[in-house]
Amino acid sequence: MSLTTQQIITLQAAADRIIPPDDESPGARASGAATQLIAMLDGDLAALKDDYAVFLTQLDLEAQVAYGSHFAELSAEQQDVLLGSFRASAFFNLFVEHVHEQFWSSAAGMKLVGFEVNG
Amino acid sequence: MKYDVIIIGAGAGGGVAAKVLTAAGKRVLLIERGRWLTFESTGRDHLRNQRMSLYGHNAGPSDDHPRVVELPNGQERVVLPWQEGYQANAAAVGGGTPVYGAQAWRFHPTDFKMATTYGVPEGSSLADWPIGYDDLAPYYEAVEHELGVCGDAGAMTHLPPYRRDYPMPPQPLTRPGALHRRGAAALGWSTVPVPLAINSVPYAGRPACIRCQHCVGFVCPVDAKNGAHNTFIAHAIASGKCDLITDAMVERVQMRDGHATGVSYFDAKGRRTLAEAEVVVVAAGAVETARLLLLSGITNDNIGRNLQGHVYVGAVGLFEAEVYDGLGPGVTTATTRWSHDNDGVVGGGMLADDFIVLPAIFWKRYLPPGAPRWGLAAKHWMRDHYRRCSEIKGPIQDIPSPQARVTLDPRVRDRWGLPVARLSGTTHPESIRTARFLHAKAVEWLKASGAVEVWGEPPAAPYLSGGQHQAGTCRMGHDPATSVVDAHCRVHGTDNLYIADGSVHVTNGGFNPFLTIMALAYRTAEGVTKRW
Repeated sequence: MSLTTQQIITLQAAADRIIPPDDESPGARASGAATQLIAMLDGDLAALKDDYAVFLTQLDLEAQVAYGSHFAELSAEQQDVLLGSFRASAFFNLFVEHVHEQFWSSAAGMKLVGFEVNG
Repeated sequence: MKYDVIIIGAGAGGGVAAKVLTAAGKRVLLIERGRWLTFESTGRDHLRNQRMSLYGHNAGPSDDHPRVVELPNGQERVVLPWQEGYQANAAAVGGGTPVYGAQAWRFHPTDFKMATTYGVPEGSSLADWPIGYDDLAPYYEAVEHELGVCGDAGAMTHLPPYRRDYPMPPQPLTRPGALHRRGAAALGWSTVPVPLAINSVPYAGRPACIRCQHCVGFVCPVDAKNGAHNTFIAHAIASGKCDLITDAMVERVQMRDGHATGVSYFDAKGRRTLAEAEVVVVAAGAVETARLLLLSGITNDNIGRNLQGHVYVGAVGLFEAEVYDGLGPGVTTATTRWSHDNDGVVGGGMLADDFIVLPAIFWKRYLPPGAPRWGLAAKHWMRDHYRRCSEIKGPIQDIPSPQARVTLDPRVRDRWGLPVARLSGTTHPESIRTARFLHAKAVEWLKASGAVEVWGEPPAAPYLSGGQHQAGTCRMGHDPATSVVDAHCRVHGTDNLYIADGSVHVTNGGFNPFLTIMALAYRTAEGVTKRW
């Protein structure tokens, strides 16, 4: 089963709060890290795809219950409050790690910390 | 076709043996389960390499080679080569050496006399080697020159004087290296430039290191890193006397009445093939060599015991100003001050600064407790700290346990139908006491170097150490009741079966072990040619 369009939109938005964009550099979305993570769900992380689907659906439902909108349409502050409510969830923390892995191995992540590849 | 010698495993030990034997005129068949690596085929994937294998790695072994790991709670699980607990080393022509960090340390003279020096902790199998530093010194020297090592022999004051200096000067100092050199001096500790099998200047027809940021865990883009593949094996093949077969899995050593007649193996197409030889040398790494001896029906209760690698300690220091300078490989400065003669602990270890740390590895392994894990705070933490941190780390000399063990799994088989290696036990608890001691020295050094904050804890409990530094499973000794091979590395009870890898190490030194594996393989292969 593929993730639904809504689940993918939710993942992109949530990843962009794990590593948000700022004036200096892109976040997880614009860096390609979130897209790379989505691709991994058909590759090395395929075993977790169903768990991802459940988590993303739940996150979006919580958004609708709390604010009457899809997660991706909330303000950054509202998104952070919702994500913070998953702080104790093992799966949320796994998701956080997955986003970081992709971001810090992306060109944007390397550039941000000043890791330049010469040779 | 009948060969003079069949060597199983084209790694550090097997590669050296192939060169020494072909140079003596022997016809050699070198069998390797991996294949040739290139920079293009292995790439620079920060999540899939031999330094961090989150989703796979770049240099084998493939998932055709599972193992079973016995957990401390009695449960067991099947693990793939890049998963935790596998004790992986690369499987390729050159073994781990095409992707290693290339720290080319000689063992300390006391490393060969651990039981005499410290006594034997209860429950440990700590023992002396049947040979000493002086027996290996000429072979260390031969390897340093044939392989190509850069360093400063005059600085190695913990060792007897070298007869010849290294063939290349040390790599230039980095910014963190200079800080740590001053820090050690302030403490009154001596430091040495880390000897590396990397060309600091052009050597033997290959170029100097270009100081890139992807050394350890990756193939060198300009072939300035010296391993078994581009030196000893290349020479063996160029002699015209060595046939190298890759992608081939050995089934067993064919034995008759204590005499090896050859080996059976499965080639790349899965065809079972027999090859005959006068002498067989097993050099498959400490886990696979033990497994192959067991698969070959060789009976000696010591086979597979005393598996050891290195328990590592390390601490990260945060400095006021940036210390990162991007100049690879990064490791420059070590102290051997704490290798031995430490009050209240058995042995010790070497400490050094680290290779350049990839940002993804920094995130996974270098964060202090309490660092923000997500949001702008986490992103900015990385931005503000990555270039201000430096690690001091090092291997302690493991105190071996006979319970740290490789056996054949009774149920799980690989794709060739062979029982896989089953790993159980841990290093002796005494290793953890030594680790705590050395960890405290790493912290002390970082503070003296100017670190304003230091974090990182020593290991809390014994674990099974093997991995890239795996050793010990077929230890040398005079007595077949307590060892697997004799002082010539010939398997007890056989007249022509030898081992030429880390398996034969009685103890594994407080240093990266590949130079010792190579020196010992050199000595073993030379011994074979002298007796025949």
